[in-house]
Amino acid sequence: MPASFASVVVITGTSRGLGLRLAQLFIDAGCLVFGCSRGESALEDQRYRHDRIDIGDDAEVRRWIRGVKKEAGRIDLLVCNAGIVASVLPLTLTPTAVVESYLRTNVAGTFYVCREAGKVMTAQRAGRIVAVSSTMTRLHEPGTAAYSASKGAVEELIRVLARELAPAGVTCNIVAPGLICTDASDSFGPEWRERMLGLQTIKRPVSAEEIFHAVCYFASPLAAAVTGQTLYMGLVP
Amino acid sequence: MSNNDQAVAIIKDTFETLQRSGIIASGTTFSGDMVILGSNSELDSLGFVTFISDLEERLSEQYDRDIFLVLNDIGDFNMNNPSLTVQVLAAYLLGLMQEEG
Repeated sequence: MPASFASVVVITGTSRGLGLRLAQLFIDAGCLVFGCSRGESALEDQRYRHDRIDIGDDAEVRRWIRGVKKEAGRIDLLVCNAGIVASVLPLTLTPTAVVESYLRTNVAGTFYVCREAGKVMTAQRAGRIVAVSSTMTRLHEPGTAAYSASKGAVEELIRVLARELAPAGVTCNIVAPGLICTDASDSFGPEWRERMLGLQTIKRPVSAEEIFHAVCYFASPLAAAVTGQTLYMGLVP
Repeated sequence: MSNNDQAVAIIKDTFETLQRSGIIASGTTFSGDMVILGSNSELDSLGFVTFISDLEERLSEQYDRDIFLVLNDIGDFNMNNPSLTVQVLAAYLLGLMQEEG
């Protein structure tokens, strides 16, 4: 997949799972990739920079994005991937700490990263933002209230941002895959996995390569007129 | 940054950069009364974001430390005034830099 049109790529949540795979795929495509997570990254490459930050902390996000701008001079593509998937509990049993952690990382974290990268892209009058959401926002599946609400908020945030940044030549879109096989999703067990696949139209997990391809589409020059859209993968919404 | 003239000068550098890139109209004249945010502003919302980003970067580079201009703080500083002018922003910058310096 040629990704030379996005030479400087910023991805959140690259220590493991989908973020780690996306980072590797963009590196393989020749991009300079800036990743972040709360922990260390296993990824080592001369085209990869990793910072340990908490995206729920706006000051840390500001310093991180400024550092990226200082080193790379620009940001072509931001992939908002970081997010937590911590529990599958009915809303009435979901602890306050769990819902707060979803809102802090998934919603506020995405907000802060988009705000800071959005400033850079506004100044350069070009850029692409792609957020990773989930088909859960369309399934209304019991046990996912906090998670789905946080992803629904991310989708709305991106659509509003799409309208705000369109005059600056920046597009903002959403990739919403069905089940992805990661450590986080595996932790819920095989029964949960089968139930999730049963809800999808295409009854298999979505691969990181397929998501990478979707992100590359949104980042490509011929998608310059596509903004505020959600691409569902594995599901007819 | 030790005086108001230095603050105005760095704002002017940002103004000139944006004017060169076409974000501010070429016929616009820089002055202390020029409105940056509010009615009759020379900048639209995207222009204002670009202006503040450029200024933050310029300050950080010139003074070799992380400077972040927080709109709420500028608003508090400029309370009861519907417009933000170059002079008010300069006074805010001077206070900010002396406070952090």
